[in-house]
Amino acid sequence: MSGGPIWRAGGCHCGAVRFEAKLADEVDARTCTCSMCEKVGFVHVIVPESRFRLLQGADKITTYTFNTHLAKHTFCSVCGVKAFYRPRSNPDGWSVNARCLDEATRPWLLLSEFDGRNWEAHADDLKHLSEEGP
Amino acid sequence: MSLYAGGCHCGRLSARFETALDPETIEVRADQCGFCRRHGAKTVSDPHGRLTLAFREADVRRHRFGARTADFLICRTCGHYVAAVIDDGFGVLNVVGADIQPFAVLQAVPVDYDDETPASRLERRRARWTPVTLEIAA
Repeated sequence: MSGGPIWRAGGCHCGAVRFEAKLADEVDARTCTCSMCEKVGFVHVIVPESRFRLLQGADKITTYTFNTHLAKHTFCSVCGVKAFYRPRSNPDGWSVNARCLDEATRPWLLLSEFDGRNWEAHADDLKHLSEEGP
Repeated sequence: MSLYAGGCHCGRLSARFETALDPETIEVRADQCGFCRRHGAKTVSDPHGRLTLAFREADVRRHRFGARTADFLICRTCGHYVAAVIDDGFGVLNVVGADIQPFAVLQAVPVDYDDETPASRLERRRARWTPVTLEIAA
């Protein structure tokens, strides 16, 4: 049984940054072995632009970039938690951190590992995740 | 003693961990509090070792929450949580945030300290955390 997507809220630890993402009952979630994601323990749930909205905390967000500077690594300036960011693989969408989705409404996570150490060879496999649906 | 070195992603907050504990059997803990879960943190400590943290005070946020008994050191530039300290004397290292191999890939034991009082929490940390040296540059 899998329900249609609904808006599910989440946020950082201190509560300054809150967001919503429109997600089904079951979603694909990916850990990643790149140098950045391993240090954050990020669990990616990638959504199109229209399925993400920031609820509060825009003034509390710090953005960090490195290497190509295409990904926008956004984190809460108070507690450091990276609840979502703009990924290089999907610059037209968002990657939400499944660790930061509220437990009461968190979807079932179908976990897999993305080979971030060979990012260039595999990034295209993620492109469809931020395509807007019908 | 073996020396393990790492730090945050941008390099402004570095950590060195000296320990005689075997990396194959050292206890790696995954605290189940909301802060550690959201940071994906896994921590190690050794009361007989030494944790050295080097940074400029202006580059690091000392974040406090809950019982406010510890400073959680977060890089202001890249956001990574590297270590927590009490009394500027004892610390615990987040081997994920500091990217300390080989500990970061080890299976972590879930731990939950929710039932502690502030006093018993400080007592546990002083007994189990690693003596810390802070190298703070101006």
